[in-house]
Amino acid sequence: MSNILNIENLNKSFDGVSPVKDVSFAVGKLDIVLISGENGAGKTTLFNLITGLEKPTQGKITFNENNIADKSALQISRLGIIRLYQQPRLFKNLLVWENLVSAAHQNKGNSFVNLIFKHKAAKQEDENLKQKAIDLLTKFGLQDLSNQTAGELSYGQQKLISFCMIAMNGTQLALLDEPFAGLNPQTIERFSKMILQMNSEGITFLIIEHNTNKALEICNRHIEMKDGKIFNLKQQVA
Amino acid sequence: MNYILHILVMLEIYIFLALSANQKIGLSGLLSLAQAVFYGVGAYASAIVITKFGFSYWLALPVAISACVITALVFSFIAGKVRELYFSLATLALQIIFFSVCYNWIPVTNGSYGISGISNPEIFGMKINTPLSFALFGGVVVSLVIGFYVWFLKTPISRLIQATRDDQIAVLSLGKNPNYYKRVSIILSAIIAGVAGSIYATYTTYIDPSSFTLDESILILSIVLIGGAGRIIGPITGAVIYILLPEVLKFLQMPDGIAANMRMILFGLLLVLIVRFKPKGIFGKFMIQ
Repeated sequence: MSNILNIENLNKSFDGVSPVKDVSFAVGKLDIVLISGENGAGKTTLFNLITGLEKPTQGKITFNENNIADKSALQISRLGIIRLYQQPRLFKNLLVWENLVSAAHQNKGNSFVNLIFKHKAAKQEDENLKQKAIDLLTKFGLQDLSNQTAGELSYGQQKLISFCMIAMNGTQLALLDEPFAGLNPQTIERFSKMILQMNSEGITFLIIEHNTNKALEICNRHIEMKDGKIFNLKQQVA
Repeated sequence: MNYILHILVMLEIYIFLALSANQKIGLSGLLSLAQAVFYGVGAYASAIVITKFGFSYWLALPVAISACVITALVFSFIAGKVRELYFSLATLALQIIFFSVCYNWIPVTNGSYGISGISNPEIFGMKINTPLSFALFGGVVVSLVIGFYVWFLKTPISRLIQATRDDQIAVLSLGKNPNYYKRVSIILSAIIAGVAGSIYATYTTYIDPSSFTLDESILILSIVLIGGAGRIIGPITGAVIYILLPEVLKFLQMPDGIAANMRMILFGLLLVLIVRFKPKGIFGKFMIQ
């Protein structure tokens, strides 16, 4: 299968510190890749580099044959890479379905001009997206939360909802930063199932996780990092 | 009777100002100390084109709105990129610049003497020059703005404006430009304040820089804080409390000299009580950070 993400000789250095040193690896379409390593191994910096929040000092990042190393975070996320943070980042004063609809890339009503000149189409599209959001919540058994304010949900629920957001906007590659941190075993099981289901629907995953045992149950590749370098690259662990 | 109608017109103007401030603080979470600037730009722009070029109100209104949009655009390009406290500091600078310009650019603004002789609006040949007609005119325009917000708050763009307030980085990681949503909010807020300014200028027929000071900006901000930010009803409640407070004091037969000071003391006390016991404001949706 062709590769969705190619990373070649990636380097990042701040004044005298190099959190990422000469990292190269490739991610195939529909892979679920686990990245593990101690704190300070460079995992988060790697995510920052892929999503464009930080610029690499050297090296190449190709996503679907586009070089994204010099693109802005905004451009990169529009290409279909989404990142979920360890702390769920929901819009806490909006309702759950509003959060999901806000995640959609294509919504005419997001632009003021369209809202005035394509009023009907914008309204229709927004209603379709709301339905899509509710269907999505129903699929994962979260439909009861749809009309709650996001900030009032429990930590675990917030994590599951923010995970649902990636299915709303045509994401191809999702980067999850410690998805299982702070969750109880049942919620981890539930989360794992959701990841597998979305993977079967076409989303590739890159996961940072310290709970490697749990993560390896769903991941098909495992990359270990140490001191900014890839220390161990295992294919097909599962 | 005329007195009550005058109160009503002032209430309408303050509802405008409070809704405009709510757009920035309530929906975008941008703590602005320059709300009176856009009010002033609207008032000065209409006053200048009416008195110097003989424009009618209906031509002056678009001029006032354009002047506010241009000011807001320039301002949002410069200050839109900074966040939180730094944004407030930038608005403070804007407020000080605006006041100095009004005060010192005598050929255009007539400095501290202000601009007088601003003609009243006309509608279908009828002059709106009595308190009753102004109260009706203001009532219609305020209802339009409230109607606008009832619609606007359900639109996707207003959700994204609020999403940007809640978490800017999350908006960015969803592939949307948070600066766009902040800019839309700053411009909308400026337009509404500008309309309020043009109504104020043609109602009082005289303006001077003292109506558009930092004090006024802070007052508008506290009206929103008391009423509560986020919903439509909050800013309206705040404006009602601020305007009707002195009238209540009159019922208590307080002499005018004391009542004027009492108004600010009570308003300040209310603000302290709200911040302590109901930090979201009376009808607020969320807490201002």
